Amino acid sequence: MATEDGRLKVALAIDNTSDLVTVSLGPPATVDPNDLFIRQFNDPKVGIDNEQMRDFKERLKIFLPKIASDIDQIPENSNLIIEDVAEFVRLALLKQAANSEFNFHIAAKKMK
Amino acid sequence: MRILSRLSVCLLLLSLLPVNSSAQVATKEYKISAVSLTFFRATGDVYLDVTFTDNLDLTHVEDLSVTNIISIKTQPNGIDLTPLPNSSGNVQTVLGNPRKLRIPIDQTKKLPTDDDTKVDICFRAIHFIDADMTPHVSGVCGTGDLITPGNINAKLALQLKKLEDTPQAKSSDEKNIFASGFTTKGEGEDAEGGAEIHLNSKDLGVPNLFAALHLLKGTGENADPKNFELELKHRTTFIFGRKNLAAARDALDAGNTALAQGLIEDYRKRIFSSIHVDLGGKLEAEALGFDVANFVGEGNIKILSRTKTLFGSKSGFYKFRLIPAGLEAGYNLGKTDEAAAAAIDPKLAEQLAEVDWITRFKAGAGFTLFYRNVESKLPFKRIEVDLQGVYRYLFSREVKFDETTKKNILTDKGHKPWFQGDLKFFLADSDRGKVGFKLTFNRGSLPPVFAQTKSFQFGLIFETSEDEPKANP
Repeated sequence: MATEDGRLKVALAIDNTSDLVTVSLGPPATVDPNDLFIRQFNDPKVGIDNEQMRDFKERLKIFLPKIASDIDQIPENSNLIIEDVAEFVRLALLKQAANSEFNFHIAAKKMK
Repeated sequence: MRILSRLSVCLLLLSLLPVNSSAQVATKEYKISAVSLTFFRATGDVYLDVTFTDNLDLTHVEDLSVTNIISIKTQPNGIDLTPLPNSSGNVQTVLGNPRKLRIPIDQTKKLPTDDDTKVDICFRAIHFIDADMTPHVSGVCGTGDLITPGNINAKLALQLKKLEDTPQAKSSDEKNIFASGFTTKGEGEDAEGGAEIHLNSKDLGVPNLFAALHLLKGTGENADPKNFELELKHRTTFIFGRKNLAAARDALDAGNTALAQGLIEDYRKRIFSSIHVDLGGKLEAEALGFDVANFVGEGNIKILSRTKTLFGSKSGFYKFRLIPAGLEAGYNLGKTDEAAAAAIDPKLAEQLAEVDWITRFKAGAGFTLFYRNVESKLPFKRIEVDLQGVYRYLFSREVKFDETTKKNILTDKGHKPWFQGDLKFFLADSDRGKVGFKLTFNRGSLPPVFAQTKSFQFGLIFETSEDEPKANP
């Protein structure tokens, strides 16, 4: 099964922090504004400031507990472009999936 | 008249500044800005992400067809990869990004070899659309890296660096690397100057630890809070409704989108977002003289609201913070005007000499409102309001600035409130910039010398679009 890219969870964590952003889970999932990811967190259509970045990260950790330590590294800077954070999350999930796969193979070899 | 003439000069100088394009205006390059091939065969993740410089015109569904792709070829081995269309024969659009496509690769066909490092892609034609709805069409090609289990750590580190290198945001109460000069009008005769500096660092290498420097200084009569603070604090955050969010996550992961949607919609009804508990210490000093200095440990609880829409409209929002309780306790490190106090009244010197331990109760609140509607028939197209207040109760006598002698020779205890407000009203707001006026007021007193402040600023402002958040190029 393919690894989730975490994009929907990023949008949901923003939705939970600001009423300006609305996620509809569909399917297919949609988000309002429909260009959310090319905006910054402090965009007037998103409305998240530096202090609220902490809340966004805490919520994202609830949605993606497997990469909580990676999420902790995201700077609390509302100037960040949401797509850049989504890409960081995607890469962290891929890394986590690759490590799990590697550990699974090691364990399987030991079993043999 | 002096202040008006000074403001006129400022406005003239500001009007000569170049105006930049607006935040959401596309780059108008009409090409591919980034390509990456994710190649994690063991987990089944083999897909190409293609990012464009401008918004795609998704009414041209033929652009999304796999037949619109001329080739996808690896480098250096030149292996042709085969796109895997969905049931409609198309590649995927990406949630919330009109500038990005995801192209799954058919894993039953040829795949990159171990020594492939790059990938090329070419489209026959891609239709773009500007913010002003002007269409553009061009054939585009792009090149990018492979992301594999072998280089994922390096790619993740690179992406983190990109996040860390993003310039810090300037927000109302958490201003990072922000410095400003201002003209101010107190209760005295003349308008004078001042400075406000806030430097925050969140990169101390210790999670949840922040360092900050604050300076509030004016030269006008009754317009100088003489406040300097250098602080280090640790923050712990508690999110409201954590269980609801975990339930929504579990429902979503289990494929029950209806339940997850219901839980998310319930969550939106919440007003309060989180509780922040700050613990730390700070050096307070009289700006810029350091004649009086305190070391103070502090702890406070802050309740944050979610960002709420303004009367249900997404043209604006409001949010607020409450500090229901906080405690500041410390020790006075220096009070250098004891000799001056003795010269005036020996009793003052005695009281000043008794100032040592510091104990204060603190409470406060902040409110932010933003409204923007360029189509509005109201005179104001954009309004920005930022109000903050903090109340301190001093249990012990502390040093107080004497306005008559201009020396720190008094002592005081009891109620010490502080209010500050910034209000901006813009009559015009366009891609070229914003024109309006600004009102700022400060009233009350701040540690360590609690100089009584009652200042008011009014100014005409012109802000270029450079101040706006930028869309991803």
